[in-house]
Amino acid sequence: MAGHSIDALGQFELHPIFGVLGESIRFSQSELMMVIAAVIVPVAIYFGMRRKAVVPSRYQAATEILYEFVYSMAVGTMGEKGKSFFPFIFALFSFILAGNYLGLLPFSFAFTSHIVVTVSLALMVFILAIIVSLKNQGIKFFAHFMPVGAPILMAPLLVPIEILSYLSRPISLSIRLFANMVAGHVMLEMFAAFTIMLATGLGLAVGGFLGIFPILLNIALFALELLVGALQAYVFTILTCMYLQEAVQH
Amino acid sequence: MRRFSVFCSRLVASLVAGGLLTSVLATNARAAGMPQMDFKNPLVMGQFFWVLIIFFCLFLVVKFFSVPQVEKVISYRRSKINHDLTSARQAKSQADKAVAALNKTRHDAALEAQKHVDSILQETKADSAKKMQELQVKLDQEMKDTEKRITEARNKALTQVDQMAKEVAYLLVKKMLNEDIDSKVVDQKISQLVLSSSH
Repeated sequence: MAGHSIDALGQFELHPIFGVLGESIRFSQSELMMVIAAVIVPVAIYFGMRRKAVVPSRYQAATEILYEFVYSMAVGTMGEKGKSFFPFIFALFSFILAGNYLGLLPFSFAFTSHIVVTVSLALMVFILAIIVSLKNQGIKFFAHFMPVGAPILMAPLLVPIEILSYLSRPISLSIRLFANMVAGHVMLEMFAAFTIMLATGLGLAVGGFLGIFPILLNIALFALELLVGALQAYVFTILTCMYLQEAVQH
Repeated sequence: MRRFSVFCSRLVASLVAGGLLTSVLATNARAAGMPQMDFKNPLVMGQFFWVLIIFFCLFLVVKFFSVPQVEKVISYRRSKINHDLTSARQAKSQADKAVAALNKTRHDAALEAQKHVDSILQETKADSAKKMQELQVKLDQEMKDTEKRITEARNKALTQVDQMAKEVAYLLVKKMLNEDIDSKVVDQKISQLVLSSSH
């Protein structure tokens, strides 16, 4: 078994697609998955709502449940002002969810397992929240860095802490999603490779029998990844809603 | 069964531990460089902009196509439900009005019937009272007539008693004296007795 190795991180390597064109425009399998996710979401909604039935079918009901879920999340967190941000929140949630779930398919790629992608999305949310804050609150936005009721003498200590706390938002937002997706895929890869290693190292009879256990574990991990994928999409989106809620309040 | 479950759990734990250990040893070689952290790779950094572009496209499609599509169906359903509810409320209101009108009609009819019954009862009472009065008058008249007839019969009987008494007295006196007597004397005496007794 010493000769075998598990390349758990190799799955995250990027390769250009569409040949030279892909290389020149820096288009890898990650971008392809982003495009597929961006296409799947509206297409799935279109086919879900195509019949426009008053009494919905299961597919239509599932689409409406997704819509209502995100809507209640946005409006429940931000209030009536959340309605204007709802398309953004819905797009964000469905994009991350589709990305997480697409990554679970064989021969696919989880673009949310790349820190650059999650940082990009987190920075977009962060900058949007700052723009909305400045638009709604003006110069009062900076007053949030001094906690209400705190003695003014504590300002030199509290203001830098608050600024640091505020600036850490995109970092925590991006690393949370990235780390969860990486961990899940590494675990899946390891146990899948371990099965093969058992079969090749101990022979097909013994290794094949023992290989059943990592496979069972992988099935459980896959179920866990389904949960984690939805949960991380939800966490990313609900935190976005909370940041925007802070931004829209006066 | 318990031994088997303990054995299974130990086996799974050892496999997990073995797998982790093997993978850690195997990935040590790559630990120094995660492909995600290879920021010199243009494909890695290219994702930063691509994700924004693709997400922005998705956002536009969702905002102008998907959300209105779902919203349209949901709002149509909501309006239909509201419309149906309004219709149901109107129907209920009309039904309530009809029930109220029915109850009122029934109540009025009951009152009318009661009035009718009362008037008939009063008429009957008055009629029977009138008939009773007439009967009473008739009875009184008959009583008077009867009393008159009795009085007349009595008077008549009394006059006959006087004659009979005179005859009985004449016969008794004649029997006792065993001779004929003047009937006029007997009549006179009897008349005097009757007169004195009547006073």
